[in-house]
Amino acid sequence: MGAYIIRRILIALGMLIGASLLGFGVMKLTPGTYFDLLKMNPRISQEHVDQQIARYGLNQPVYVQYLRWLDNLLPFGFKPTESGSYLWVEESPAAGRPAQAPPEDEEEESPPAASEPAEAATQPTQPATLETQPATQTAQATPPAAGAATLAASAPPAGQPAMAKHKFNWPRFKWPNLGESFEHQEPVWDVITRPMLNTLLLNLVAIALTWLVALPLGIYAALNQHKLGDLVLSAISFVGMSLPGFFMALILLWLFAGMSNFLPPGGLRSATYDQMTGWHKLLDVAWHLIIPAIVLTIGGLAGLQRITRGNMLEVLRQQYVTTARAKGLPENRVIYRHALRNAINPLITIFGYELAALFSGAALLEIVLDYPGMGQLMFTAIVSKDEPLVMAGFMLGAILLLLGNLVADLLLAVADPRISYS
Amino acid sequence: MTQIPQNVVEPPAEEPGALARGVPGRPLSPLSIAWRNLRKHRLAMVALVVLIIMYLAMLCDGFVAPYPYNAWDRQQAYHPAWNLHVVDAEGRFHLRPFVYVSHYEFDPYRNRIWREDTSRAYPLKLLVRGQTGTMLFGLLKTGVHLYGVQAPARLYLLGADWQGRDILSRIIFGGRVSLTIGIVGTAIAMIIGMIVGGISGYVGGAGDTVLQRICELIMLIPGFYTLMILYNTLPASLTSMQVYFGVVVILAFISWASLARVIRGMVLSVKSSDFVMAARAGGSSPWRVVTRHVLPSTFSYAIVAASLQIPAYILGEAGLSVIGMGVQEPAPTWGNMLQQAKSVTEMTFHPWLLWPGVAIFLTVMAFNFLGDGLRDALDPRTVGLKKE
Amino acid sequence: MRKAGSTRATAVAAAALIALAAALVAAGLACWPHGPAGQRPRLGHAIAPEQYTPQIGRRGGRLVLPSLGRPKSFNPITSGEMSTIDFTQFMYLGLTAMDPWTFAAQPSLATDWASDAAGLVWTVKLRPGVRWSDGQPLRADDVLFTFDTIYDSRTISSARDSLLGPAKERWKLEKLDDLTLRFTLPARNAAFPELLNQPIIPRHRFGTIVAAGKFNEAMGTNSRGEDLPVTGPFMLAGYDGTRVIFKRNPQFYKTDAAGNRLPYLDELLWLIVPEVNTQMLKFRQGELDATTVMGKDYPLFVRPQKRADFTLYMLGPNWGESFLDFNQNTGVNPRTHRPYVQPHKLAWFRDARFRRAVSHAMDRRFMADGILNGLAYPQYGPMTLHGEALMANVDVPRYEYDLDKARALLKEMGLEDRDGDGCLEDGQGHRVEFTLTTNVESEVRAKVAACIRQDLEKLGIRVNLRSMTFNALITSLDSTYDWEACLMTILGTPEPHWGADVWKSAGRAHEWFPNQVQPSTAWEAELDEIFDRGITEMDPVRRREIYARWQEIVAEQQPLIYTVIPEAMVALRGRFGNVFPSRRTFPEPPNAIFHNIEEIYVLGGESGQTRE
Repeated sequence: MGAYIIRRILIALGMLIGASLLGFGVMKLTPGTYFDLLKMNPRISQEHVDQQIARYGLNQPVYVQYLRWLDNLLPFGFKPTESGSYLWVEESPAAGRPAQAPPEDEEEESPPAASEPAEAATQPTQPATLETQPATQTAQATPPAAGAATLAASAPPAGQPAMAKHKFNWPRFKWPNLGESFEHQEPVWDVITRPMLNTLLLNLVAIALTWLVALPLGIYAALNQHKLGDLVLSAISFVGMSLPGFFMALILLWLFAGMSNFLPPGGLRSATYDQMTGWHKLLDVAWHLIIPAIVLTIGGLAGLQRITRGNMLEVLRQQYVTTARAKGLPENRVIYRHALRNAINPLITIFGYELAALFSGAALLEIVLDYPGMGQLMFTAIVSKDEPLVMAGFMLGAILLLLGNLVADLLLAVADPRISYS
Repeated sequence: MTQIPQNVVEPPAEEPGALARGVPGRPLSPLSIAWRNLRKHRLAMVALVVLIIMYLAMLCDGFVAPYPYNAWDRQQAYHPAWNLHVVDAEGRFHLRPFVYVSHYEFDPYRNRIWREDTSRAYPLKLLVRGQTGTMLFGLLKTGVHLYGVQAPARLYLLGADWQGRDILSRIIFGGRVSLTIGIVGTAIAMIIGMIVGGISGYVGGAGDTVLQRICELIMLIPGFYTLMILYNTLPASLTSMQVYFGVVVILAFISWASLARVIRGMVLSVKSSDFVMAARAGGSSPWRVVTRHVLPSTFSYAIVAASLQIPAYILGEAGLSVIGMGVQEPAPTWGNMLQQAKSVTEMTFHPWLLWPGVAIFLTVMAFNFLGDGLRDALDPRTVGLKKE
Repeated sequence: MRKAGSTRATAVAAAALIALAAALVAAGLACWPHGPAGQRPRLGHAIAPEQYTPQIGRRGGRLVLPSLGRPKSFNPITSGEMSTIDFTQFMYLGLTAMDPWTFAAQPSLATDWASDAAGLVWTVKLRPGVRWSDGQPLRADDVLFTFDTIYDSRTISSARDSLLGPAKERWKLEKLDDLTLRFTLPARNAAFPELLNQPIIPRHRFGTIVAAGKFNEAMGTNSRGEDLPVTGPFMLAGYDGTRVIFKRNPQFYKTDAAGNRLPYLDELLWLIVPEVNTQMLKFRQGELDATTVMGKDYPLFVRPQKRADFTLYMLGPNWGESFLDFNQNTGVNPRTHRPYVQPHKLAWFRDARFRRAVSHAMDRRFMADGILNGLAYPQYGPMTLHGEALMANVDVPRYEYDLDKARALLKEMGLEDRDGDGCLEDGQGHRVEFTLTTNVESEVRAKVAACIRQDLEKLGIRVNLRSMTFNALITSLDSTYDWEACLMTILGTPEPHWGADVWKSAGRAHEWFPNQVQPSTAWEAELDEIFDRGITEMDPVRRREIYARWQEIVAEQQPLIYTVIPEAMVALRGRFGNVFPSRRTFPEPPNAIFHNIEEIYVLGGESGQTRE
């Protein structure tokens, strides 16, 4: 099992790099940059726009931009130097130029065989540098794992040798950095945390509601097959499955926020939230969650209810249930002890897939309902070309999908003793 | 809307050859068995009839709809739904429904107050001559409409939008996009899926691994975000026809991978089945084996999957259009019509703008019922059960 | 699975459907506008300056406002976006401020400014006794520091260009004493007092940061209020991603007539609500105290409601310029060696008669009625709707809706229907057809585009609509020039010179033909000359004449064919006192109401009524 998980994770890392390449490439197909918005303001100068574009490296070739992004993201890597070189640090104090080298740069190393993916990836950025570098390094190996502490400090390197020399820019540990959002002008991570938590909150509430409602209804429908209750439920199921979520959302908005003022029209917190006491805060959030959670729940309910019903019916037909009944066990015991367990087991994998769809599943609904989650954030980011933000959301979505699939597979192994991953 | 990647049908894992072999003792082809089974499924048949009506209306849109989709009359902006009367201003009953010419004025609160000119009634007529519209995807022109009223009166069974365009006509014309997008998209995804899945399953080895990794990659990317990003890459100079194909391809792009995987699984199991073994032992070429034996046995799955995937495309297109990313005005689609209804003011004062949502709902529901019926009808297990 | 019961299931499903459909039909037929009984809100209007008579208010309370965008930072120098200025305008004051009625410069941190006879040397006196919120006094050094920071090439500043002379020379600033400064300008600048509105930042706080070249990153959204000393009425108290909270600045210099220190309000709170639609609903539910109202939502706002405890202020036209323009670029794409605009189309676009005909064909009345419920004004020139502004000239040629005149103009150009297909053709048989581009984000603009398409259809001109994201549209306008016609809205400016980049032929924002080396037409040359002359003319009356000519030329030549401008409407709860709406809807409608934010207070006890 352990080996299986490790192999899955390794494959997953490769897939994530693939996904990031795909996402980045597709995003770069659109013309224009975020900063074109500024150009429309007659009071903002071209110089200002150019400054901003240069600040985020948007004037560089696409592959350089990608590698910069990837390099920022990896927990280990090279510090880019002012000269643009990733692999080589050029130090020439004689030229009077302030040393742009990373602070902890006293270590040098002869170029090792390209083993890190990041290193292999960064090579194309500076082919010229590689060719022209004579091997002037003085071998003085130091462990690369410099640790996080070395990152923060930026004491100017003192007492450098007077002659110009090139040193290998050794990859080292750093905190992964998602970059800075163009639009919000702050680290992407800070921008993304709240919407992410809001989306998770909404989805978890909806999933919990779905399961709490769908399982009993599915069992009820199975036990009352072909009776009125079953028919009503199956009709509702089909309606729920066919009613587009955004349409249902619009109708609920119309009824409860437009025609009447029962429910809030969007958002997650009232303006007076900070003046509320703990209990009221919870109620306030719950009140805002009603419309989106109901829409999501009804959407998911239908399918799950029908699957539960089908499974239950199938199990009830099995021989062991008949046997149990023949043995004279009470009906309740037959159903809840024998049948139910076996009917629900296969559903567990669905849970994993729901987990996988957590992020982008409700995106459209969030946009339509003005819910401050990832969907809305990504929508504006994509339209305005806030690239670091788009990439972060994209990658988080991919990671969640991966995790969800993994969880689904593992749950399946737990639920079904026939499957083993060893 | 985002069910697209998840809409995976369980392949009939056991007895994959059952269908191809047919049921012993009966000369019936599998298709006619399926049809017989399907006919017993009443709900699916109702759905099928509804769909046939919808598609016929869509094909003859210029004839069925009382107005062309872009026929506007600004004086009738936001005309409320249903202006057909049977009782006239004097209280007399008429067997033939009629309409009055109406116009609006703003009251001090900027509400549109509608007044009807009751001096002349315009009766509802069948096969009436009116503005020239197109049908059969624009191939044919028609000036005759199934029903309508004489100008200057206008018939608004489902109301009008802000330019005074008839919502019902636009819903019928909107079918050109909304009803075909699922079929075209599924076809594209199915072709890619069959090719990739077929190769992957039949050839195996390194090619299989590479193709499977690509499939996994496509399934890994978050669907709706990708849709939005891809839509933004469409150049702005496209015509609405080109945008339509762009959207179809985008939707197919994110959904072919799951199909390919399932088809690969089926091909794998078919490959090891007795009759394929026999064919290979008999010296048939791989091409012949694949086209004659392997792919046909995945065909029933393909049909079921298609009918279940079509709703996902319809919802996908509508979802994108609702947030402004889709075929643009003035070409109608059910999604971009709903986009107009998105604001609470519109819904409160002009709720008839929500009708396209009902059209989406009906279509999706019909496809769900049909898919359900088809699955039962084509499932070899059910076929077996029927016999008992 | 479900075989036997499917008929009944059909029945149930059908019943559900019919119920749903019936509900919709019923809803469609019912006349909602006459819906619930109750009060209608009061309507308010802009008042004249002499009616501005503030009362003594009471301390306390808070005002909850909506904001469409998040603040990008709280840095008033580096940020150009409206969504940041919306906040920083209450934190940092400039030396002068814009008068809410006349748009002229009025004293703020400076009390007095005067120039020498040549108009090149200005002496500016600071207001004595002003303190930063951390207790430090405001000194001339802060002003010197602020201007140095703006001029510093490392600072990303949107204002730098307007603070440079024609030859890119800096203003020279000298400190005469702690409260007096001397500005020496390289050239005369009539807009100098208005340009003194640059927000002043504290040197004692940011001196070292600017010196270290880290100013661009300073004052980010994660700043703490104590780290941002301000001179304005409010200071930052917190920001959590969805709400921005400002608290009262106890050191604010203004006092009321009774000597109480202003502002009265304890807190300003912005709720970030990215959708106008949602803002409106949140206001109706009582969560927000004020909101901007769009014309199409007006009926919902004035609908009778149980507690109509607010006033809807109708403040006159927005400050904006909404127009259609044609690409008149004569250039050739250097890469493809093809002209940016097809030559036969370019010939129409560069012909003023064509543009006038289009202007005549636009039914601006319907645009207002159909899109904004009639709450919009037809616009015919850059300032025709703003007679109250000092430099406005409302007496310009107007191309009213007149299809016959339009047809006549086109015929004069040789554009007529030659083959009887209902479409116009030119002499060489080219069908008169063009592509009109808008951006997808603006619903109103998309609708205006649809109206124009229908209007021109009546003339026999085919318009293909195309919409793209704003960024893509700007790229097209600004670098690739591959557009034919475009619908655009820009922020109008009460001071014409601020729009010089739009009107001068060498300007980057000279949309119809940007970055010209030599003006390509005589009238463009005249515009260049007007804007060069206008800024150096110190006499307001002569200046007015100069700019009157500019507005005349624009109206005659129609390089920008103006459409409609919406009514600026702001709804405000009735529980606030000292509300004196002006007509200064610049830059955004709420500014007209909150120009005296420090004097606005929460009425005691008898909430729900406005002061008489």
